[in-house]
Amino acid sequence: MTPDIGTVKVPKYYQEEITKEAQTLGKFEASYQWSDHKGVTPGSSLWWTLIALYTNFAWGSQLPCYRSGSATAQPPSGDAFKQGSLDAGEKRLKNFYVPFLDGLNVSGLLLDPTMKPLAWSVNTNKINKTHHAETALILAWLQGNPKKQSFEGYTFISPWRPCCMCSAWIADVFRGCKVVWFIDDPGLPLRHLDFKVNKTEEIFLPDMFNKMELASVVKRDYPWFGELGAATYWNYNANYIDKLRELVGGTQEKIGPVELFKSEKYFDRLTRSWESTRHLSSELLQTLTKAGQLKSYVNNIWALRRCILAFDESVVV
Amino acid sequence: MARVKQELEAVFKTQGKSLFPTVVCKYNGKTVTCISHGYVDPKGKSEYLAAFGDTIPSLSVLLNLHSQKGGGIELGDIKDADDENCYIAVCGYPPTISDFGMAYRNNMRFVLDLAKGEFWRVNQNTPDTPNERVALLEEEKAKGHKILDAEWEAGGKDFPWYRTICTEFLGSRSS
Repeated sequence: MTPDIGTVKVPKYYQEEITKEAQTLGKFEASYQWSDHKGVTPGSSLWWTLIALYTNFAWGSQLPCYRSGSATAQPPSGDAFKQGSLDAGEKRLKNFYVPFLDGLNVSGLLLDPTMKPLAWSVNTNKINKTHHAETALILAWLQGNPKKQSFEGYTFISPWRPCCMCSAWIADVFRGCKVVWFIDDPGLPLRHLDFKVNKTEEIFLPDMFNKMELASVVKRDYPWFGELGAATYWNYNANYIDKLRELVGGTQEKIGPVELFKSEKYFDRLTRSWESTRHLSSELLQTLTKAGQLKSYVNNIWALRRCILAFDESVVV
Repeated sequence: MARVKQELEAVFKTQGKSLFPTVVCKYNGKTVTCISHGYVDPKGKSEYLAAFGDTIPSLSVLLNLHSQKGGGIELGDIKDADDENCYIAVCGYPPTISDFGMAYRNNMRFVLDLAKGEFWRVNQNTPDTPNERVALLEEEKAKGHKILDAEWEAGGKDFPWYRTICTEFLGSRSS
């Protein structure tokens, strides 16, 4: 299925922004078509590098979507919206962000076996408390795809480790898929994904660095994978709470994901993550170009960015 | 309990089991109150958001509707939910994995399957520290527990609401 996302209404200034990106990245015309990554062997170095890039995108894509409905929370200090660093499309939405910004948004991204994006979502649990990003994505997916039963080879990117409810949905609906994450949550009980129900498996992204030839570049360009990932991975981190406190700063007695969400460091990294989807380093550019994957990657990122700025909760393509 | 019986009858007998009926109840330690019920149209024209494959998680979709804020049918959050202060789900079909996930999110401690006369305790195992969670996980793995044992503990305790509901609707089959 190839949706005509060219019909999505996007303001002219945002299209100009996209064209500028095209010139910066690859000097080719945007096709506005969802693209697959044919020829990339699952599990290869290139595969994991691309998964890391999409994970970076999925995490950063929370940024323009702070619309979970909280009317009380305030943006953290050092708010990127005030720094003029965001593109025109984001500025367009500025009026929506501020009243709703609560720092509790999480996003999810479903990729097919060729890493073509199939669905994207963001947490809107201030509107419906079950609408964590993962569950919202699955409910949206089910409306158009009620029969599909096997998701072997599919990748569900959930930057925050899925909770009990979302784990259950993923294991029930996206049977056999791999769930990639990098930020842990100290409040999680035992979940269906802990037991690989329906052969659905979780993968901690930083564990995959050793599979990437460009691991040092990925670590350098996307330092939050290590910084937020390793520090919050409590399965082998006995000092999780101490590490989290260092990351969050301040003197709060209680520390957890909410404090991390609302910390300045988190927001700073998130902003850099969103920005970094538009600028690949020369090493990554060279590698993706050589492998013939740059165009697919850029097309998908453009398409996703356009959809995200045009839709509210979830996108199923 | 009379109202529960009435509500359940309306759903399970009038609508029929083929519609995968579900009832959401609240238990306060003494009485069970029926809060709502739902079912899925067998032709697939469901009033709910989701139906898939050969399982129709009507509890999940019912809870999804109950979780929508501002619609006037939201399930109130129960502070410090426990065995005697909680929501209970009654299903006319074997509950799905997603049903358990949604039940957890909505302060349910128990899910009943009236089709089989069984019930599960919804896992409330939320440790305070990461090390506790690691220990628990290792412990469960060491026992070789499968998900239904570890995550959703099958019931054995004689809860008064369970006996009442099952006796009223299933007679000697589940007593």
